[in-house]
Amino acid sequence: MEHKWLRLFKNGVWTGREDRKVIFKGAEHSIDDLAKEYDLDLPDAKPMKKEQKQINKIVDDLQNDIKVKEYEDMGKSQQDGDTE
Amino acid sequence: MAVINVSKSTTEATVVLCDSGANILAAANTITLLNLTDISITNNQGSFRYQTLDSQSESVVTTVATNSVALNVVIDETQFFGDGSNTSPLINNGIFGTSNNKTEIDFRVYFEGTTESGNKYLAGSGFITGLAPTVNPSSPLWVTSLTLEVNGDLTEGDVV
Repeated sequence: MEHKWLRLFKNGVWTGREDRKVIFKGAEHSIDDLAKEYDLDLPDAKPMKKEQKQINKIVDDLQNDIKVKEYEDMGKSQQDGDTE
Repeated sequence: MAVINVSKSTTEATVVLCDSGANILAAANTITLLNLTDISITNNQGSFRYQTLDSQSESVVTTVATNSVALNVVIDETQFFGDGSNTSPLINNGIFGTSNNKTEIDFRVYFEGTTESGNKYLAGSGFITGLAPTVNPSSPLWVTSLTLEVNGDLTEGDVV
């Protein structure tokens, strides 16, 4: 299906109505709703979900590092010096 | 890509004329031509050809373009003669008056209607010429040709 309203994006910038609505198949729609319904990537869509996953991954990695360091000393004796 | 089909009621080829400098999307200053029978757009780039001794063929460079829109309509009386009582000079004087007065107007030729977002149009400014109203007993409706001589460039746009 052809979505001619996508032509209103020029160099990734929306140049259509300020309310981001278009006439599609004779009816008025929000372009964001159309994008969800037809699984379209809008040129000015914000990649929010990917950043959240990246942050969670970083936090998980840090927590894992802390746990590893906590247990690092368990197998060693507390004193390195020689007994007399 | 797809062909441009004007056979549906929402995708008809449409020509809108407007007072020069006015808002072409506002009905107060525009005429949407009724009863169009055909439209033809000319965007003819000028050319200068020259020959050189080191080539077996002519070379060419482009020069200024000649742009025009030719169409035929079955005459609508109000549009052709004007309504005589409007603040818009175009609507007041009509197509004939605007041509006679040599008044410049703006226009758009919508390729596939004026409503569906993203459909294309060509726009420009120019003068109405080439009126030739005609009627005969076997074709009892007055019809006329109309030419828009474009002043400057034709520009393309998208229906918003």
